[in-house]
Amino acid sequence: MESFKIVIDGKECEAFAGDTVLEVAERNGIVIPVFCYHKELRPEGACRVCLVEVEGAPRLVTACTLKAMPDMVVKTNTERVKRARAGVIELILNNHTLECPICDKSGECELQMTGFRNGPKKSRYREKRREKDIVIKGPLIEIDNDRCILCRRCIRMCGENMGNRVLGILNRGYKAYISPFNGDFLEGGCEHCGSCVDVCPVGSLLDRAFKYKDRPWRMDKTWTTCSLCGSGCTIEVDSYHGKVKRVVGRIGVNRGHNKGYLCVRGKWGWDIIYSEKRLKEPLLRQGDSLVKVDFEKAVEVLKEKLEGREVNLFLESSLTSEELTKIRDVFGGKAVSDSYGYYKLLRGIASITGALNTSLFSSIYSSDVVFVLGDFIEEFTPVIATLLRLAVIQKGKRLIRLGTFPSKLDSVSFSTLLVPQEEIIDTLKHLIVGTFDSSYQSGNKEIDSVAKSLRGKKLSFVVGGNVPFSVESEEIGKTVAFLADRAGAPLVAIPPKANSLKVVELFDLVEPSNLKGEVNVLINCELERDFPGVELPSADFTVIFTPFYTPEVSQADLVIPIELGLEKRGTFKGIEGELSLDSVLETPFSLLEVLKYLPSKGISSKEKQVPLIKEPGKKVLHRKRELLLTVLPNRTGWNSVSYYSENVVKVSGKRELLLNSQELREPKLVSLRVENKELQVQAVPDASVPKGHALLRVERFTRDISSLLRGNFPFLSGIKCEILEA
Amino acid sequence: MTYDEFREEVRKLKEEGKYPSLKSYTLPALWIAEKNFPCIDHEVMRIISSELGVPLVEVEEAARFYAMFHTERKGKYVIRVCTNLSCMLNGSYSLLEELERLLGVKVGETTKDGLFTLEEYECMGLCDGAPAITVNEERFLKVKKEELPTILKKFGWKGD
Ligand code: SF4
Ligand code: SF4
Ligand code: SF4
Ligand code: FES
Ligand code: FES
Repeated sequence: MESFKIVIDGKECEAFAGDTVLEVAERNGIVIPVFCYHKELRPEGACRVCLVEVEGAPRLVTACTLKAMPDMVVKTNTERVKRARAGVIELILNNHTLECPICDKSGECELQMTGFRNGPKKSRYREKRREKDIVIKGPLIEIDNDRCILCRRCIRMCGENMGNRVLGILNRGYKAYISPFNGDFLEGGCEHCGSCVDVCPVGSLLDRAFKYKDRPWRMDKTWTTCSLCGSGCTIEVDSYHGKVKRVVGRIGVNRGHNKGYLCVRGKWGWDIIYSEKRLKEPLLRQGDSLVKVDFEKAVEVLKEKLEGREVNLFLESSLTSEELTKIRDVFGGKAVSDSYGYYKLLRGIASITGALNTSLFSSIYSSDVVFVLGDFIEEFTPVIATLLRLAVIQKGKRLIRLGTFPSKLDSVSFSTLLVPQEEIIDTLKHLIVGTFDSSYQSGNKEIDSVAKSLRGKKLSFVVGGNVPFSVESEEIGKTVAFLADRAGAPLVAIPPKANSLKVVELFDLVEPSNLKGEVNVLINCELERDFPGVELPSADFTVIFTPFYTPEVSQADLVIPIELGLEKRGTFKGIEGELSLDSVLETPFSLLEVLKYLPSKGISSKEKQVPLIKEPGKKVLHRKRELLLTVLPNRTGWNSVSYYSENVVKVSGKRELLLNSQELREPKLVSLRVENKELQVQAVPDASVPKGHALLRVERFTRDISSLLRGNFPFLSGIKCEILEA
Repeated sequence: MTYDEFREEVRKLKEEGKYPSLKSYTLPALWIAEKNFPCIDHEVMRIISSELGVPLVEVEEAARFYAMFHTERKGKYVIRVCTNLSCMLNGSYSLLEELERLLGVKVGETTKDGLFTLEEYECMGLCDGAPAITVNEERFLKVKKEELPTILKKFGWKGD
């Protein structure tokens, strides 16, 4: 791009078309104070603290909205500018409750900092301070309106960047204040991503779980990776004396691929480490009960029971790469894992590309059109959905989505193709031809028009959400990879869990029925959540490594406590390469420590080979009268976060069966039938559910859900079902 | 008007197809509510939001921003007394005081019988007739203090 010169405070600076003066100044180390401007937000020009002098312009101008022009001469620190700035700050401070001593934001408050640096020495005002006295208390967020400076950062963040528009300004003028509809975050559709709290420059928007808990300047700040899904977000964990006080994303400062955006799990789910259900000591079976034992004893029993025995390894995929490597070393490379569905997807992709891998997420930024395949990306990996949205609104990418259910992403997509689940593969096949052959007609106008918008463009592909859990995951993998391959485009396969990619790389993943060992070893699992419908094989001995008292602890002979993500150091193999975990927390137990005592099996690593076939997949789903069921964990419930987190449970969702509103007229209790298994559940009509489909939202995978899904592991979607009268 | 009837009205508005975007029907819909309900409550806003696909808070923002919309219960007749420059210079504050006295309420309040709400208002564009007052949509120009009882009686005032 061609650049030009502008002069700021006597310094020649390089500028590009579209840059604002503020951006150019920032790049050149010239500080202009701001309140309403935020790097991640569209400029607003609301607060006027960024006023600068421009040669030839009669009045001062706001640097955050002023576009740089060739040969512009700008001054940011003349007396005139300083006086104007101080005046703006004086006006803001007049009605600000200076309660810094008790305000959570104190120490990292932008009004405090900018006020000290640029504010007036004292105020000339005699008028009484206006108090609004409006405090809005949501389950996790609080708005103290007397501290608000009405910069509208929160509104732009929530409405534009997150696409939620929960917050707004009610009333007018002096009385204006920030609130969700009717003061109710939940009814307003808040997803509790925490982004508004993150960008509020002052202590108006507060994290209730942190309120009055600690001071920003004295906490240890540790950058690490959230382990609660495959987005692999970089987070800052703030702790004091080894106790976590909060998690922050630091939008705009954060260097991770998530840019500081988080979801409710990452922002508020940190307290799972202090859950009452946390396991602290090893337990050993004695007769009918489990008794506490010390680590030496546990290790001794473990060694004895494992010696020379073949194990049935059940592996959850949020373990670190270091842990996984060690696990393979001592237990062998065969495992049943919750990444099995994802593995199938990757295997499908690998049959075209030759590699059991994904492209880096950032590869989408070098394309013009991002083709997204999958539903519920915003539930499984919320921040990936946010990043896709931002790719459109900030970077001008075109998004095209193919799926079955509507998504929040559709509001920014260039086009959305919604087809019945059994037609996904056929639709992709039409695109495989239509994208490259302008004379091709699929018989469906919408498909043809999507093919046209893909034709000749620089493409990238993203597949995720529920696709890894679809009965067609492998075939979809083949088909979409075939399309991407033909287009010479990167294909990003979003892993459902933080380290699914490493699990797929290191282990031979097998069907549960293939396990024939004598000892069951479960690591970090919850049986019903990670392996719905799978029973533990009968074995002589069952060892469970778990951070929590999970339901299957009662079936164990030996239970050994382990750490959670925030307590670990190590790495994940993530969507953007290697992601690192760091921690200053200490635990009396450690999975790696325990595994050290076990003998190595000395398995050498070998690259997994997938035969190259280079053919699109075949449709698996055929359907007559049945409905196709998708079981969907709510965002708050994925990884059982709401079950262990006292914060997240406050905003958790519910269990309900959503059916097309023409197929179900009004809410009622029904019996959901899958083969010969039945589940009684409240059904609710929902216009967004397409005909012929049933969507079972669950907050938690409990025994009854698991029984309903028996025999379907690893699938949660595309399962034939019927609805009967309860 | 019942909520169901109101929903019907909003649907009819949409069918008029006057505007390219549904969001543009927010103000017309709020007007229907303003005229047919004692106040624009949250249920009304929910109906507008769901019919027009506008976020809930945006409807509340609009309803709370404009002074002509009432989100608190109002009387059957809203008396607006302009106290902006021209009207003020021509004696509108004495009109306001007199109305407070006659009705026995303070500015912003509603009479016990629910008939009148008294409001102080900014310029209504009737400066040539200052001091001006309006009662719902009817305007009264160059109003004199002594005329107030007659004006009130027109709307069913029982005093004298
Ligand atoms: S937490 Fe997220 S969704 Fe909720 S109000 Fe804030 S920005 Fe909006
Ligand atoms: S709550 Fe915070 S972010 Fe929102 S307008 Fe007020 S000061 Fe700005
Ligand atoms: S999107 Fe996933 S990785 Fe990111 S904060 Fe949420 S749970 Fe953690
Ligand atoms: S930062 Fe420029 S006007 Fe607020
Ligand atoms: S000043 Fe009263 S109507 Fe204009």
